[in-house]
Amino acid sequence: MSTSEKEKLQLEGLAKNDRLSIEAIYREQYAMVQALVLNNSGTPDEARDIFQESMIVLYEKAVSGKFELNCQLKTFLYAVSRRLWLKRLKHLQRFGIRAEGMEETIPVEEELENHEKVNADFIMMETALSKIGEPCKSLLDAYYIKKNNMQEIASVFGYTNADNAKTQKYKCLMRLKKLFFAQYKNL
Amino acid sequence: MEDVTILETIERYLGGEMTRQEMDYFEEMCRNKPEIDHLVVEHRFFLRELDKFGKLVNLKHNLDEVHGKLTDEGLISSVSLNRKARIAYMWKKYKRIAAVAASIAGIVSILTVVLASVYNSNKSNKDIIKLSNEVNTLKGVQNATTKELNEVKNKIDPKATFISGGTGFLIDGNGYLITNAHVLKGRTIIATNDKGQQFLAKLCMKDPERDIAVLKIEDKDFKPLSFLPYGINKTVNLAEPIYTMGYPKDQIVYSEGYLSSETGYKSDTLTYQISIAAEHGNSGGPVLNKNGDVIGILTDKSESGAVFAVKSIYIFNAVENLKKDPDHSNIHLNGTNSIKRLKREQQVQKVNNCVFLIKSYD
Repeated sequence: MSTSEKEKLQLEGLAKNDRLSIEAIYREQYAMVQALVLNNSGTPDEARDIFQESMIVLYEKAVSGKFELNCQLKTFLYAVSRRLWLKRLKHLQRFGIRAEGMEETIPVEEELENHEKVNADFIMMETALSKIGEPCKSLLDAYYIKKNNMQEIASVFGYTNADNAKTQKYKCLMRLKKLFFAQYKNL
Repeated sequence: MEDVTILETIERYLGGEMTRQEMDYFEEMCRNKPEIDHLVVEHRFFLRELDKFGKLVNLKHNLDEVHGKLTDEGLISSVSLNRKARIAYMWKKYKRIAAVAASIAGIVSILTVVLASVYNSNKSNKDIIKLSNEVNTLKGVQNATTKELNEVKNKIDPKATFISGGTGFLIDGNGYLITNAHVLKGRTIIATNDKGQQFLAKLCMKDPERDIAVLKIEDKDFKPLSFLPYGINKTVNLAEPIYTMGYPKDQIVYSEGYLSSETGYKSDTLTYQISIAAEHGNSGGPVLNKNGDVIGILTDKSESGAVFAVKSIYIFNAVENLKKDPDHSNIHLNGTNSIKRLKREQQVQKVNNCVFLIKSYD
């Protein structure tokens, strides 16, 4: 298999959140991003954060279906990590050490702009979920995120039947919606 | 229509669960009632957001797990690669600042030693209660102890008597446990996991001053863990929520509280003061923050009920010292936390099998 075919499969796997594809990309690309961050006054923990965030940007691109593999994964991840790390350095005001070996490669502005939006949406949902309280949070988590079926959920949560659990789920969902959309009004 | 019913109908419509007939009827209704039409649009948008959110949560979880796995395989190092080069570089750059800092540090450390000795002498006051299970506190459960002895007779001398006990937790999946020094008054040590399996453990080091001890499970029945769920973290915030797990009885007990002070009993700088329900037997248990990072080791309680925990920095120190011993040069502290994004119940489920009941016998 050629590199580009292999990377195409990895990307398809990533879009489906396939554990093996994620691990394969991680194995092949992590060292590069780690070197980038560590050589530019970062710590191992920061390297992990930057790499994982770049993986999320890559994932967003993969699921958007717009990803054409006109460059290697390495080039893309490098360009994104570099931008994310520069931004973080600026934020931390860690100007002390000049960025070494951080030449710009390909433009990734569009992806990062989209990522900011996805991030903001994520935080809004996270905030709304953190406010609805239990057992609503676990109930919605089980149904909408873990995708368990209503029968299982009913028995785990101790509802006498799936219908009651379902009614409760809808009530919780309404509260979540209210909290979620309220944040739009505050923007 | 009631709100819940509307929502259910919309969800069935969006999920494609309606029959042809129902769908036609529903679409007709949407055309005639703009408010319902709007609800459908809004709900579709919301479900998409929720779905995107769920997928990201799952992705982040997978990334954390892969990271933990690769760290344990040694593919990802948690120390800087070119550390030497960077240190040399920084040294050149910050030589003067370092000189000033060093002299300040020198003065401070001298003061600290003086103060610590003062406080430590205070610490032996009897109004501090060590939270270990000692013989006198256990007279009432003599029967239980006898039963216990029958169970462990394969592992130790049947004539052995129970001296003291508490809790301990893994800091290295190969069987290194950390606990309080005061938990270990006897010579023979048995560590029991949450499933009731018992293992013989050996004392590797004991530091009564800081009340820390490291044990190693040396038992053919013990299966090493490839990675531990929690990391060990030195940073804390006043008032942050914390929890602990320990063995005040034979079953593991969970309790939660908050960090009350960054210093311990009478401002002792070796420990944190925490507010948490703890009993005899909780000594040596991990104190974890909301991310599931270990920030300390639960140690003792004052008569007024304040609980203290040895700061996690002393775990690092103890391990550094132990590494110098050729027998234990392979000990490796777990650096990565893979339970950060999990809910508390799930965190606890993973931490469970890393927390052991520790008993010492003579």
